[in-house]
Amino acid sequence: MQAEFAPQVLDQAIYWLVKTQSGAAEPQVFTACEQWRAADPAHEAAWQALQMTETTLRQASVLPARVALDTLAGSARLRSRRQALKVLGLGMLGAGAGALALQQQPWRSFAADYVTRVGERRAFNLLDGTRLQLNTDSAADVLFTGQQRLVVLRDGEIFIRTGQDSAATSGRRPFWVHTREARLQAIGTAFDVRQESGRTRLMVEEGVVAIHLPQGRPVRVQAGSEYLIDAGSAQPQSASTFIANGWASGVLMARQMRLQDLAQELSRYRHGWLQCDPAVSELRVSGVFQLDRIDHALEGLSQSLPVRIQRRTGLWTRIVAA
Amino acid sequence: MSPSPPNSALLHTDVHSLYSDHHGWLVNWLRRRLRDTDNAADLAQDTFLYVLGKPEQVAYLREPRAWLSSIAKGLLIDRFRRQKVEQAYLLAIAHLPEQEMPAPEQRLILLETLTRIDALLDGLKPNVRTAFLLSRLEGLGYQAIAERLGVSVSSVEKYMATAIRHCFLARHAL
Repeated sequence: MQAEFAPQVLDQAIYWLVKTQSGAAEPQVFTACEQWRAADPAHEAAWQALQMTETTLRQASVLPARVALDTLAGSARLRSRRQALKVLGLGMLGAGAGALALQQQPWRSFAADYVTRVGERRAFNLLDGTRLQLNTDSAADVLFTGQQRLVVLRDGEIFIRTGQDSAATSGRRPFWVHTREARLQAIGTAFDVRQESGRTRLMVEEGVVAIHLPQGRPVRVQAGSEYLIDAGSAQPQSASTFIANGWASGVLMARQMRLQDLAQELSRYRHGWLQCDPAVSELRVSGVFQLDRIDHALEGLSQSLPVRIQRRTGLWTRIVAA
Repeated sequence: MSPSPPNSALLHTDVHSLYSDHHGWLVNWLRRRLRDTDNAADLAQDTFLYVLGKPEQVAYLREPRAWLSSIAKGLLIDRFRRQKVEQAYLLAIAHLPEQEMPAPEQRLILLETLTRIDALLDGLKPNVRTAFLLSRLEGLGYQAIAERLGVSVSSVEKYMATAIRHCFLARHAL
C-alpha cells in the first residue's frame, strides 16, 4: 500500500518525531514541528501515519514498563534465528518444488557441497557452531582444516553467523569467505555475502569483517555497513534501497526501491521471466514482500501502483502500466 | 478486490469444493512437517477459517494447494511468535510482587498487544529495538538511552529514525 505523501515528506515527519521525542527538546522544537505539520495537508497525513505505531506502543503502557520491556526483549531472544528458520524451513518444500524444474547450472549440484535451487532457502549448522544459510539459487563449499575455516561462495548469496569453534584443539581457527573478487575474514560476526555479476556485496550485521583485496591494506567493515567489492576496490554503500539479509527471515524489505530493481530482485526467487516495462520502471516502492508468496506480492503491487501484471503461460510475467 | 463480486451461492460452492478437494491433503502436508497429528488438524482448521474470510480470492484460485500451504505457513509463524511472546511475558512477570501482577483476565488482550508490537519491531537490530522500547515504554530521554547502551546521542537519534521508519514500512507491508 502506498501512502499519499512523497518520500521526502515521510523523511521530514520522521525527523520531527525523532526531535520532539528526545526528552530534552526546547519549546521552539515543538513550535517548529507544529508549524511544519500545519504547512501542508501532506505533512499532517505523514505525521498521523507515524502516530499509528505510537498508539500501538501506548497500548502496552497499561503494563508496568519493566514487564513490557522484558517481554519484548525476551521474545526476540527466545525467537532466535535458528528457531525462526525451522519454521520458515517449511517453505522450502512447499513453494519451491511445485515450480518448474529448470536447473540453470546443473554442474553446481555436483560440484558444490551446499546448493539451493531457485526459490529454495536452506540453513545448515556447521561443526564449529557456525550457522550457514543459503539464499535462492546459491552454491557454496565448506572447507575446514586444522588451521582455518573456509567457505567458498560459488554463486548466489549466503548469510553466516560464525560459531565459537570451541571444539578446535589449537584455539579458534580464522574464518574466511572467498568470492570471485575478494577474500573476507570474519571476526566473530554475522554477515551477508552476495556474489553478483563481476562484484561481491558484503553486509555486516554484527562484529567486523575484513576485506582483503589483491592489492593494498585490508578494509575493516563494521556492523551496519554495506560494501561493494569489485576486482580492484571496495566501496561503502550508503543508500541501500532494500535490507540485504531480509531473505534470511523470508522477506524482501524495500525502501523507496525502483520498480525495475524490485522486479529484478524478486525474479531471483522464482522461475521464468519477470520483467518491468520501461514506462513504469522508475516508480518507487516501499514494503515488505514475502518471498514465498511472490505472485501474491505482485498482485499487491497492482493495487498500490498504477500498474498491472501481465502473464503469458507460467513462464513470462511483465509489470506494465495500468 | 474483484471487479464484480461473484454471488454468494457461488462462493459457498467454491469454498465447499476447496475444502472437500484439499482438506485431507492439507492435513497430511502439515502432519508430515509438524510430526504432530493434533496440531496439523488444528492448523488445517484455522487455515480454512481464514479462507472463509477471503471468498473473493477463492473464486479466482489457480493453485489452491500452494495457496493453502502458504496460508498455513503464515498462521504457523504467527502462532510461533505468539508463543514466544507469551513465554517471555511469563518470564517477565514471574518475579513481580503480587500487587503489580497484571490481572489474569487482562492477559489475553495484553498478549495480543505485545504480539502486535513484537511483529512490528521484527527485524530491527537489537540496539535499535532496545533504544526504541526504552524511549516509548520507559519514557527515557535520548541522553539516558545513550548512556544505557554506551553509544552517542546522535546514534540514538539514528536508531529512533530507523525504528520509526521500520514500523511504518511494516504497517504498509503488502
